[in-house]
Amino acid sequence: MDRTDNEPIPVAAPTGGSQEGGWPRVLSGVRSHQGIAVGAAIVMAVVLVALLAPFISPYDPNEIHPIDRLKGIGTPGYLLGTDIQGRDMLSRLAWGSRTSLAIAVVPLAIAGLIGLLLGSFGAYGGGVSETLIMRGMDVVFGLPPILLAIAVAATLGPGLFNLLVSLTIVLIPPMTRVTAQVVAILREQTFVEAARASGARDLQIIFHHILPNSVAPVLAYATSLAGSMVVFGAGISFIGLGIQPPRADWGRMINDGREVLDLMPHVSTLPGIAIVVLAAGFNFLGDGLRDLLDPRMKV
Amino acid sequence: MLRFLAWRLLFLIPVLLGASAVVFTLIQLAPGDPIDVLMGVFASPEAREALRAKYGLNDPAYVQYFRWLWHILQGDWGVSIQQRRPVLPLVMEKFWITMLLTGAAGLFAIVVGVGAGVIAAVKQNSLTDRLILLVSVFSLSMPAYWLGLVFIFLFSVTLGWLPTGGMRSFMGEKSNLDVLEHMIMPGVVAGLTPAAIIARVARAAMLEGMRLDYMTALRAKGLSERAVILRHALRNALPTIVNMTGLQIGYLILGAALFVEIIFSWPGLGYEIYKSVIGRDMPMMLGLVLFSTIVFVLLNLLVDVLYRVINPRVRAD
Amino acid sequence: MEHAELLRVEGLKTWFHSRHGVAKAVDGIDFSIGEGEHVGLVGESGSGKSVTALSILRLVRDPPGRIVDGRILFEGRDLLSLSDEQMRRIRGRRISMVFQDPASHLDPVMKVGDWIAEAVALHKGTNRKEAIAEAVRLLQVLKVPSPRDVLHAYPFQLSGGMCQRILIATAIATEPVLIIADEATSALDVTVQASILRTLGELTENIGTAVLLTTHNMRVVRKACSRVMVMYAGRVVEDCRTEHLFERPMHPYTVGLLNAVPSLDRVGRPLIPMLGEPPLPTATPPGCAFFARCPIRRPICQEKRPPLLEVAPGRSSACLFPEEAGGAR
Ligand SMILES: Nc1ncnc2c1ncn2[C@@H]1O[C@H](COP(=O)(O)OP(=O)(O)OP(=O)(O)O)[C@@H](O)[C@H]1O
Ligand SMILES: [Mg+2]
Repeated sequence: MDRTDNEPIPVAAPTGGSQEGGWPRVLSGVRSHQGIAVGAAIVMAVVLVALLAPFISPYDPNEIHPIDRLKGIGTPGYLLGTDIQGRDMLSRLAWGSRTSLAIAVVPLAIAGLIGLLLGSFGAYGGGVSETLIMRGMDVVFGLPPILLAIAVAATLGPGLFNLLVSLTIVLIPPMTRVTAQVVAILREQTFVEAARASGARDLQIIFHHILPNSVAPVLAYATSLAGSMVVFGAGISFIGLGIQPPRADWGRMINDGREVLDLMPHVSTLPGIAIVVLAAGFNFLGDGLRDLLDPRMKV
Repeated sequence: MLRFLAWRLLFLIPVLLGASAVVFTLIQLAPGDPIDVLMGVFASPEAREALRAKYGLNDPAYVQYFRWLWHILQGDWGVSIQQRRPVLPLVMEKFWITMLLTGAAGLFAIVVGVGAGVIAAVKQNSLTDRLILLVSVFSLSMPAYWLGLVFIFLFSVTLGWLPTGGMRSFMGEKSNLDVLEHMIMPGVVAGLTPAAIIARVARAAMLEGMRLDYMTALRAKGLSERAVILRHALRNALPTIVNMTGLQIGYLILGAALFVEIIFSWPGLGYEIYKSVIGRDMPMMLGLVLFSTIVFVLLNLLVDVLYRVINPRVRAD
Repeated sequence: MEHAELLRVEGLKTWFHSRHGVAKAVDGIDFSIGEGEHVGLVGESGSGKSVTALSILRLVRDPPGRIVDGRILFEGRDLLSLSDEQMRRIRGRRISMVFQDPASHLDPVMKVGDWIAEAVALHKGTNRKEAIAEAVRLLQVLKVPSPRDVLHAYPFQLSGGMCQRILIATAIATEPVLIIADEATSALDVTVQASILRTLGELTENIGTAVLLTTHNMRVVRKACSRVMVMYAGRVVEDCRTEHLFERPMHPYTVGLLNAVPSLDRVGRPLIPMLGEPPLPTATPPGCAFFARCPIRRPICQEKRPPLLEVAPGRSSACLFPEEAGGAR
């Protein structure tokens, strides 16, 4: 439920007292629109910062100013101060947004594509193939996800590319599972049955009906994970895997500031706030989209 | 129920095999040749080859896997490079320390999460509801490793209320109260994200149930609003909440707690993983990962069973 | 047979607010029920029967619904002026309710025995064991075979008829003075319907409980009620003793209802379905709500809504031309 009638509905939602609509329904419709608006605005703002990083940054993010180490916020010439090595915080934050966005988007996009294919082919047939795919995911990925990512990142070694690979691997099972659940609902829908009755082949149905209709809910689900990816990806860099110095990264920057936490808390605090803001943006956006687009979500 | 249990136990085998295969693959992929570790880089090619043969490193991968598995099953988990001690006892020791933290964090998450979720559902669409939702979104977006730092800065450095980290004070009393004091901050920080997730799930499950007709019937019986919500609506939402809580606790022990242990120097599994990553101690790290996985899988089993026990609709078939 | 007055509803209005406007589900209803009296409330789907029933117990969900006007006098007190706590003490104790879809009105994860016991313990202050014993006794009266087994079952393991017996047992256990049965038999098949109606009748007779039975089934009314009120578009349009209603209806809507159902007195005559639809509750006309469908309408009927007036001794009609209403029969 929780959607308004004039919205495009990718999958006929399971009815459930949506008739008695009234106030709550109207309000929550408004709420998911608000969430989407707020979330999209935040994410767009960060994207803009990432694109314009060369113009926003007063300095090269790695440029060291030995005399101006640990300047506070508002120091002339350094709007947001400097870190231990005297690098400009504003420049590093601006450039750091690029890696955070990459971490949020790239693994989800790749894992989403793989999951979409695996999930729709697996679940379309139902029965054995569905069980096989789902149980297979359970078996191979019995490892707790966070640990798996860390173990893979540790094995592959540091670097942005390896970090993206490890996050992608971790994301494949949930994306596959979600697609399979959505497809399981879709394949029972009348328009799929109609297509089947009119003699369409399975492959046609999958490509013309199942896949296009799964994209929206799967995308909504992926968006709702993006916030956690920002937090978690920065966390891997924070513990020393993932992004390596001197490249600017928010997780790394938090770690850099740990030693001077009592003297100059802004060095750790600012990149933390940046992570919270971007992650919250994705979470608002994802929650709203899921309310609107995901047939598995009821409330 | 018994049949279900038997099935579920049987299913443990492939899951654990799969997980161990993943860990084994990681060992194989890990950079560095074990022969280098044993003989040094300067050994002659012939000697190296002899040793490879001796340790069966030329065998096909699956043979090596089952040999490795055999060792694991016998409790031979290798030796930590950094600490020069067998991995398994080390891991066990750390496990209980992590469980202590997880217990604290889990308790916090359940109390706060369920409480907030129920209140939000009862006051649906009110200001309180929106506030709870807002706080939960921000809690979800908050990196534990950063929040830990903020807490330390506030409550330890600035206010001096709580110790900055570790599990016990170096000097003075070694009482349990001391441990408790050390547990507060890491417990709260580690419990915050699961609390936010539990709150959302609890809210959704409560609302789902509160829409149903029997709520009207309960009020028609003359039950107080309190009894309607706590004795019936919450009881009906419980299976869903337990399911999600179990999952969250699983992630907590093995994920969120990791960052928190690092920040607060809590000497558990996570801190140990961190040290082994930093020290490139692969046997130790993979031992920790394997052990955590076993715990994770068993915990999932426990949750599944519990879900059945408290849900008569599922229990019946 | 004269009854002392137990419940009087005056000018009750319960409106629902939604995006589509205000739905005046109950829009100025008037009626009364005497002690121990069995009264039927009949009307088409959507005429506001359930909302009336729920309004009496103040159980309409707010939002979207709200009682905007009127009085509900019960045992001399206006229920609408009571505090929530005072109202709670009336529910289940003085006035009980039985619902249309019994299976969905029971807690799905509570054993039905505990469901009954909960009410008994709450209102009689007994402990759980005594309450269960009382539940067993009630089920025996309701002729439930092996009541102890039934009490240990969950609702999803029982049939609809059995669930309804559980709800009735719950309603009666506290010996209330009024039971509101909202379509208590509509979801059940005919044989079960009959047996439930019979036991409900017997049990309430024994303890002198009044019953308000809402239904869209004329035969149910005839079987179970001594008086009947016909409801249309949120108001009572006719109110009289059951036998009088069937002999000589005095509102064209009642006539339409009677013509649309098969009945023994009319064997051989064709069924005449009523034409048209009731007005949307969001758009009630200023005049008589039945105007658009009425066979005897006149221009004057459109001017203002005809009030429910006594048109003959002991019977009321909201038609300006009650004498002509029956002419269509
Ligand atoms: N939750 C609600 N939200 C909005 N409108 C409602 C709600 N409940 C009832 N209504 C309105 O009240 C009108 C009367 O409903 P009610 O359930 O009382 O009818 P009824 O006579 O009991 O019909 P039925 O025989 O189908 O049970 C409905 O047409 C609807 O417009
Ligand atoms: Mg009804």
